[in-house]
Amino acid sequence: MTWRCIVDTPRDGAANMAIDQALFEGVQAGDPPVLRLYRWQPPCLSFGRNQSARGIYDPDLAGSRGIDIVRRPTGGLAVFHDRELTYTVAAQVATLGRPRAAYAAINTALASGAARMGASVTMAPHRPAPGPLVGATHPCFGHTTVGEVTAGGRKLVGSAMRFENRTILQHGSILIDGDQSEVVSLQVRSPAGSMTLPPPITLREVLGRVPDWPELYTAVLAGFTAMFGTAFEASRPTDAECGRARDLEAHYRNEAWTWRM
Amino acid sequence: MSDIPTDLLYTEDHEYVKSTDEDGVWIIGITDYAQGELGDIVFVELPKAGQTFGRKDTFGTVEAVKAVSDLYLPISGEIVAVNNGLASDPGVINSDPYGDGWMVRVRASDASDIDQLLGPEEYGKHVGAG
Repeated sequence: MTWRCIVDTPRDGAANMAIDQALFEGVQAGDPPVLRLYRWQPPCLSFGRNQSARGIYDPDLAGSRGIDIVRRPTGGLAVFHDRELTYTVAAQVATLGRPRAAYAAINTALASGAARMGASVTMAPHRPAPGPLVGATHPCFGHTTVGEVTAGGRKLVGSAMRFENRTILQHGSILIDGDQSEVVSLQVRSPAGSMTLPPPITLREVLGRVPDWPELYTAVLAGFTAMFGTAFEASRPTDAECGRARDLEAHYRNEAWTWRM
Repeated sequence: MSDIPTDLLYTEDHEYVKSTDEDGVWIIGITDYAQGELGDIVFVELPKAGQTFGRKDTFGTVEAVKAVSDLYLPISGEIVAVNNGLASDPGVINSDPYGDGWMVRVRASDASDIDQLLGPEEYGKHVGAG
């Protein structure tokens, strides 16, 4: 089956999440699988769907620094999206396998893409979960879980998933530069322990240079092509998807959602 | 090899249905296969007692590390009890899915929904088929 590949324009947090969800809904309804590659404008702090954020993060401080905030439909913990390439995959279980297999396959594709740029990466071994999510304040990049793409034991790609109607939505951040310190500095009161976490690794550090966008897009797409043995057709969000995304944006801009817990 | 107790009923989405001493009231949770496939569960979002749902409606979500999955109610009815202890200790779903890891008790509104469920042998074949 031919996948769609959308190299998208930079959008803000709510618009990015709305497009992802619109694509996810389309795939649930039978549309072909999608790989979307995109960026964030302005920089954005995103929370996991079930992460505690109210009273922990400071929206005024984020606003004063020109940083957007959004809550994702997917799991996991906070990510600061700025100098990164973000990917989204939406596909049915029939294409990708159930969540665990899909997660491994996507990570393998991402590792393959990183290797094509010259990065020496490995897949992380299993580690126990850091504990219940309620009240957790550490960043997504502060904990590595099994199968994630790492270099030198530090996380290069942070991902999160939603599984609904036998369809997978997975998106994640391939770090180009930066140290994710904003995830801690935007907290009302930086919790003890968070600052001692090792910083993530970035492509700048791994490669000793910053790859340009065409190189990144080409490498990631080649990794997915090699992993899934499928053709990718260059695509854009359709008028119907953009229309649905505009409706969904209201949900992702709603503070009741962003600060729901 | 996942544990598939012979005294339970199942769905293709890996929820189980267990009878109780109270006629028409059933216990719902996710199967051993499901918890193993999800990995370490870190969060559960469940409905409140008194809410009603149709068969196959989403009644909550479960989050393993990174992945949020919907929970589908195998039978239509009213939620009569919720395992609130899971909020602070969601890992119990991994360690004891059929016991302390139960999620909700449901008073069935349509007894025929039970006939739609899979028996243990059928579920075993379903799991074996992936």
